[in-house]
Amino acid sequence: MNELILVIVALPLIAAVIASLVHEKSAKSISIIGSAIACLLSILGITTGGTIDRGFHHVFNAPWLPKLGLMFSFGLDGMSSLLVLLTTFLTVIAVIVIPAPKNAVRAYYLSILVAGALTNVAFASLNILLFYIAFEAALIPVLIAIGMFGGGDRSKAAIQFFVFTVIGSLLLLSAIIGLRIATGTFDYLTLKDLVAAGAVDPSLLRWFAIASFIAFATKAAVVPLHAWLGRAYINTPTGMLLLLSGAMAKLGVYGLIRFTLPLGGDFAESLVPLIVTLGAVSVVYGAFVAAAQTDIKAVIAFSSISHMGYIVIGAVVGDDAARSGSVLQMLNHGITTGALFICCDFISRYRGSRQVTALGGIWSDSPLFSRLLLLFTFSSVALPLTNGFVGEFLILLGAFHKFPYQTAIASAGAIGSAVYMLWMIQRSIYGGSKSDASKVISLGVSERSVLLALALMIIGIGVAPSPLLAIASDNGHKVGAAMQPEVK
Amino acid sequence: MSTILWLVPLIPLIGAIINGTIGSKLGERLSSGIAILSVIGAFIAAIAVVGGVSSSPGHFVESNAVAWMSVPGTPLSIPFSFHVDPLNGGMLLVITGVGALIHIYSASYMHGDKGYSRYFAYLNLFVFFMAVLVMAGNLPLLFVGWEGVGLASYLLIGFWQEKWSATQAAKKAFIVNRIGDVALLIAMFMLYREFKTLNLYGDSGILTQLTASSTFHVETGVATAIALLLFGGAAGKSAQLPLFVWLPDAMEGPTPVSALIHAATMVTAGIYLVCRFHLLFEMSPLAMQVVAWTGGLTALVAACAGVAQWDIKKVLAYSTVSQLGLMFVACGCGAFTAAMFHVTTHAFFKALLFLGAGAVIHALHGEQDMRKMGGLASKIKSTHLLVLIGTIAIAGIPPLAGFWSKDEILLAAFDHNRPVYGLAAATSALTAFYMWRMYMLTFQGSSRVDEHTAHHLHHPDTRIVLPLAILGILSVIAGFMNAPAVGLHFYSDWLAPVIPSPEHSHNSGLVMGISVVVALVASAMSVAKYKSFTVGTGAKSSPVFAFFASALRFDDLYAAIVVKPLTAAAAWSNLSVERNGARGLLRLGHSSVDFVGKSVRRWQSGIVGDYILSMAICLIVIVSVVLIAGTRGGN
Repeated sequence: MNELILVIVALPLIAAVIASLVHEKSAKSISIIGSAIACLLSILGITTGGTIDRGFHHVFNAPWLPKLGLMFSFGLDGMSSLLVLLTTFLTVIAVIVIPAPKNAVRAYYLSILVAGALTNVAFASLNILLFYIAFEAALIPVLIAIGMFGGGDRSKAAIQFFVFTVIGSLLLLSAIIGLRIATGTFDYLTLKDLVAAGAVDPSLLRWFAIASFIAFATKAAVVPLHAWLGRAYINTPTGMLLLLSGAMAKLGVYGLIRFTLPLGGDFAESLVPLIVTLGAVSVVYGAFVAAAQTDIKAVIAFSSISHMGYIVIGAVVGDDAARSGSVLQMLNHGITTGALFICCDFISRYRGSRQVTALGGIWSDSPLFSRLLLLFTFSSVALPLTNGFVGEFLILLGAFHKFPYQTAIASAGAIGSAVYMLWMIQRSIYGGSKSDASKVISLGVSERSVLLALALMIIGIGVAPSPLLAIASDNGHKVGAAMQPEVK
Repeated sequence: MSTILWLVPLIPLIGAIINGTIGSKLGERLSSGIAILSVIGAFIAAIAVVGGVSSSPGHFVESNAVAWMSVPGTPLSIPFSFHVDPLNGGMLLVITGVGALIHIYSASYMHGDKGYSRYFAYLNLFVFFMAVLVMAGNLPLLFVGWEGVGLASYLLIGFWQEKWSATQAAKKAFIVNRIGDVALLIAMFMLYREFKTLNLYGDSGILTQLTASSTFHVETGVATAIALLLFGGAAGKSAQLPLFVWLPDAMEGPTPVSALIHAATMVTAGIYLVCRFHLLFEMSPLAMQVVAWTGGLTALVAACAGVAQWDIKKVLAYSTVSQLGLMFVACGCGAFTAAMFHVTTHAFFKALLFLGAGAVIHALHGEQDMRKMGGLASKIKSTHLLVLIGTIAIAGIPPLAGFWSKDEILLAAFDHNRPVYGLAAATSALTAFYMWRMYMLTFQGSSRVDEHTAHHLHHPDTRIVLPLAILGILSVIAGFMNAPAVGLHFYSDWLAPVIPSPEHSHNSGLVMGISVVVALVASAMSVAKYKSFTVGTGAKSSPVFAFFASALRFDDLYAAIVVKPLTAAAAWSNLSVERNGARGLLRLGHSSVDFVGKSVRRWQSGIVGDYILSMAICLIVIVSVVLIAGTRGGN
């Protein structure tokens, strides 16, 4: 079924349109139905099927603006199918557990569903221009959500976010156009073959490597291109933040694996030590900044810089185990950080504050909620038998033989995550009860189910990651010759 | 046999899951019953496994491998698999056996606590992870147990989570351990690079490769680096300098937890790790020196601190740090059998002492300050007798267990590292001194217990006395497992397939003589000094006493040289870089990309319509650029 990806993208969009026409009360259920079916269908995307072309399955081609070389061409490999699944999944849970702002229910759901759909277009696109358009356009609903429903600092957040990403994006656009001028195509698979055959001018590839690296590293919040992240995450409404931090930031890492390295030629290879070093710096720096926060949403937001640092290292280091770990870790980070942001939203809604100084004693009021939050915390801390450990361990193990020093520094980030996460837990859920009965966090059936499902995924992936690793290892790209030690 | 291996960790895990999910609905009897039975079940399975080890020709049993982490297209495949040989088989018996006793004790000790079932869930979880740690067939699985026991320890130290000091201590324990864990992690990466595998056993396993040194060669520098990193991990878990500071604070947890985790089992994981890799350590004389000296210095520093404590649990905590130091002295002097032997005997008498201290605290309604004890010998007779046995055992007075195992360590140090022997001998003297001090202050002299408590003493029930009695018996007889002086060497024979038995030393008579004299003299001095103790006669005002009491002020040192600078760095990166750096970069953006700057200034209004308008303009710009380029590039 080659149209699979079209259906996955179209369903939430159709739901969004219907939801914005009907009464506010049914907007939520329509959004849930549309995104849930899309989520179930994206499980199908993992299985190979449909037309298969050079490692991609479910390949679909239709002209959009053929004269421009702009085609609706889609295809999935293991990596992109997992990321599509992640995006649709996060869309569903965002719609289910985070209540829409009362004054603009329909606009809120519209922005989330559109953001998810556009992100999926980017993940599934095999036309580099289509990728670019979706990559950019996905920002619009995010900016709208920040502007309409964001936190107190929203205009600043939106501007910083926009300026940072747009600078990188314009560079990327120029490089894409350059490739088109030189090769006459925007088709990813053709471009990849041409570059591999050495048929493209190296200076052009060099420009592509630099420009795309800047664009993708900005998206993935690699230090020092992360500067937009703090204010943007803190001021983004939680529902949209699940997508922004969980799925869209992954577009950056995805871009590095999919485009920068295969299409950047030898020069991209020579950037790897720099990227790995910046990744290690991100791990440590993110931990430092997270440790200085007193707002629990800010702690989790800045911890993302640290976690993305690991993922970036694994993506570029040129080791199969590390790259598979990195792809899996994108999924893990989406799940775990999503779970933490949801908990943070509950705390903020029921307790009326996200400042640790105003919290404490949540365990004595809400033991189930607190236990789950503790589990999510230890997943973030990458405790073995949680999902976080598998990804980070494979990344570091695979990276160590090529970049021992950077890997050792990144490993030390594990101390940092324990420091800021356990501090946050201590201040927020431990201690004597501080609140009256009206502020007790009570989970409804759907909220409880979502959090339990996330908890099961965290343990499930931690204990039996191999099926997902098998899919993640199909990431269609080999950088250099990985060292292949024998393990019996 | 393969199935029985799985039972050892899995039965306690099931117990933990039951108590962790529906425990609060079960009531105390059922909740503790499930927990106790699950550990007894694990103990029985462990006996069967050890039986299998002794009857197998290769002296080991292995489980089947179940897939865990594997990446297709790479040779990386890390399974869940267990391997038991004499080295970890013995530990397994201690973990599940002592573990079962402490579960029984806890059933009474924790009576009435509102977190009763949560406590047993955590305790069972600990036994699960500890079993995984020692049985693991590969390093990542060992790391599961390693960090898992850290988690259980964190949860149990902070069990009374409404108490700030408890959650503070829990956090400190986890973070300090994490420092060691990172060292272990990097050691693992280096081992993978050198040996191309993370399996410990089997044909290509790391330990097998190390044994077959004819076919495999590691540079001494690399061996040293790996050994020191492994020791870094061990120093975290086993509370050695410079990472020992978490263990005294860990006494915030319930006392049975201190007995099981922070004395008998978890803290000995570091010694297990070093003994497991003894071949690697022996390749590096430098690493051996570091281990011996670290152990010796830790032993002495902690013993000094032990002399100056008033809190009965703190005495035992520093004593544990000190005894662990002695075990590392043994490792550093190549006496790995002696180290493991002391791990075993220490588990018995230190668990006995902690549980005894717990019984005292329980009797006195939670009082831990020895200045408010005294004269309890006649009041809680059975507890008194058993703590007395523990005191004699740890003080190194023959023929109880501590004498035999400590003697082996002192002998090895005497033969291989004379300066470290000096440290160890001084530690032994101090050990005898502070343990008799504890005993005298608690049980002898005149009672300093307040009137009300004295009239309402909690008398221990059977569930408290029975575990104490069993541990008391073990503390008396366990030494004879390995008492070469009287011709007994059962334990070294048992370990021989993994760790070669030590050669006979002709200094044994001399060292043993010195040890006995030192132990007796120090004990006598202590008894004399504290025979008629009254509050106010203690040297509490002396600055030396205060310095010792604070364990040479290591906590203050770390606060000054580690915590403060790092906190400042975090605050700096948050304020200077995050808040202002982003703005600076943005200003750069303003001036360099003029049209972006202009649009940005327009948006200060924050009106949504403006965003959409601007986005639309941008899209138009983008699309027109593409169109122009497209027509030019489109052939």
